[in-house]
Amino acid sequence: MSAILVAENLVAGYGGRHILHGVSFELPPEGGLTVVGPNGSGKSTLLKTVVGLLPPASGRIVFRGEDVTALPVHERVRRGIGYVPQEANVFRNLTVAENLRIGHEFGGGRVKSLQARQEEVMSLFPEIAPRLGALAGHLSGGQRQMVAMATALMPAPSLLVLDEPSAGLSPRNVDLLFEIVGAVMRRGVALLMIEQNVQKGLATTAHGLVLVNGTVRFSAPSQALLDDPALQGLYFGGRP
Amino acid sequence: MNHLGQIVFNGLITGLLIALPALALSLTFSVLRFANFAIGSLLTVGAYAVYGFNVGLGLPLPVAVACGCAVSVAVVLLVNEAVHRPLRRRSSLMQLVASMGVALVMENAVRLAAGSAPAAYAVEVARPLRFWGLRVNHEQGIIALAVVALLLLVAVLYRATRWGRAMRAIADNPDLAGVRGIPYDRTVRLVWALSAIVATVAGTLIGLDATLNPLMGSNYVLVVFAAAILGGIASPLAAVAGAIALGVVEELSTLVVAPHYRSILAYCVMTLLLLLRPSGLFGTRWVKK
Repeated sequence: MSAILVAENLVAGYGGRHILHGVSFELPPEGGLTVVGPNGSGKSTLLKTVVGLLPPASGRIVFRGEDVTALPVHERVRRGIGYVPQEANVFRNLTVAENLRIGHEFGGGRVKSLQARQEEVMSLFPEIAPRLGALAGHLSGGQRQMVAMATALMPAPSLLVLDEPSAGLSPRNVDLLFEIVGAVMRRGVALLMIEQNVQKGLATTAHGLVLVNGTVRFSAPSQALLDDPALQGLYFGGRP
Repeated sequence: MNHLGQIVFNGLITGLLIALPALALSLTFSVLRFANFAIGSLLTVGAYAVYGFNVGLGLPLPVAVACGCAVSVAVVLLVNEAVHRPLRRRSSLMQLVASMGVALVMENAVRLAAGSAPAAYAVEVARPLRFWGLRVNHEQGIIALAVVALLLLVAVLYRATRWGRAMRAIADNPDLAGVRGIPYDRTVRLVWALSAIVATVAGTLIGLDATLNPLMGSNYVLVVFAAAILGGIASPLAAVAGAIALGVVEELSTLVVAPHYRSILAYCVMTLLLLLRPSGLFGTRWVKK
C-alpha cells in the first residue's frame, strides 16, 4: 500500500534559522510512526511543518496524493489531518461538549451527524463522557489530553498527529493513553507522533524514526530500534 | 420615591446607551486582544451614515439604520484590511495606537462631510408617556426596546451559534482555533462587522436621545471603556452589566453631587472595583492554565 503522508526534503525553522535540514519520510497507512530523538532535534518543528503551522523554507508535503505544502493549517484539517498539540490543546473557557462540537463542525465532519460521531468518539474515552458540561479548563491534565484527542478525532481524520501525548501525565494515564492510541489505529486512522517516552511510544507503533539535529538518523521498524543497543545507549538513556 | 424612581429609570436608559458600544468594544477585545479606541468614532460614523439616509435621502429611520449599518460594516472591513490585519503579528499596544489614528481619521472625515454643527434625525417630537408617575420619552422607549432586542440577538449569536463558537474559540486560543479548522480571517471579519452594526445602532440611539455631532462618539469613549472594564472586558455580555451598573451609579450620584460632576463618581466606583475585583464586577474568571 502506498504511503498516506510523504515528506520530501523538508527544510524549516524560525526566523531564518533552520532546524530541519532536509527531512524525508513516508508514513504507511497502517501501524503508525513514532518519531524520537534527543531534545532540540527538531521533532516538534517537524510536526508543526506537517500540520501547517510552520511553512517550510523548501520541501514538499504530500497527503493522500495531494500536495498540501501551500495550504494553511485550517485547510489541512479539512483534508483529514487531525492534530493534538502538546500544550494548550483544549479551549479552556468552553465546555467539553463545545470543544467536541467545534472539532466536528469546523473540521469538515460531514460524514456523520454530531450526535452519532460524538457517541462513537466517546466510546473511546469513557472517562470524559460524564464531564461534557464542564469547562475544559477545569479538567485534570490527563482528562484534557483526552478531550484534545477526542476533539481532533471528531471530524474523522484519516491521519492523527500527536505531539508528546504522554507529557505531564501520571503513569496510569500514560498507559491508558497509549491504549487509546492503539485503539484509534485499529479503527483505521494513520498515526504520526513524537514521544519522549521512547519505550512506550515505539511499543505502540510499528515504525520508528530517529531524528537528530534536524536530519533523519535511522528509520526502521520500531522493534529493531528498541533492540538496537547502540541506539539505547546513545539516545534512549538505556544501560550500555 | 417617584423622584428616585425616575432617577433609577434614567440611569437604566443611560446604561443601556453605554451598553451597546461597551458590547462592541469587548467583542473586538475578546477576539482580537486589543482595545479598539476607534469604537467611539465608529459610533459617530454609523450615526451620521444613518443621518445621511434618513435626512439626506428621506428614508424612514428603520430603513436608514439598515443602510447605515451596511456603510459602517464596509468602513470597518476596509479599516481591518488596511490597518489591523497587516499589524496582526504586532503587539496589542501597536494595534491600540493604530486604532487611535483610525479614530482621528474617521472623526474628521465625518466633520468634513457633515460639518461641525449639531444635527438631528427626522423624527416627530412627541409628548412623554407617563406610567405611575414615571416620565418616559418616546425615545427612551425606543432605546430600551432596541437595546434589549439587539443584546439578546448578540447573546444568542455569541453563545449558541457556529460562528459565535468560532469567536469564543479564537478568543480562547487563536492558534488552536486554526488547528481545529476555524478560518481566522473570516471569523475576525465577522466580529468587526458585528461590532460595526452594534456601534451604528448605538450611535443612532444616542443621536435620538440627544443630537448628532462629530464628537458624539469620542465623548462616549471613556465611559464605554469604564463600563467594559467594570463588567470584565474579556466577556462581552458582562460588559453590558457593567454599563447598566455604571449608568445607574452616574444618575444616582446626582442626588449627592452637582450633575456635571457625576462622571467623577462613576470613575471612583470603577477605580475601587478594579482594586477589589480586577477581573471585573461580573466577569467570570478567565481560565488561563
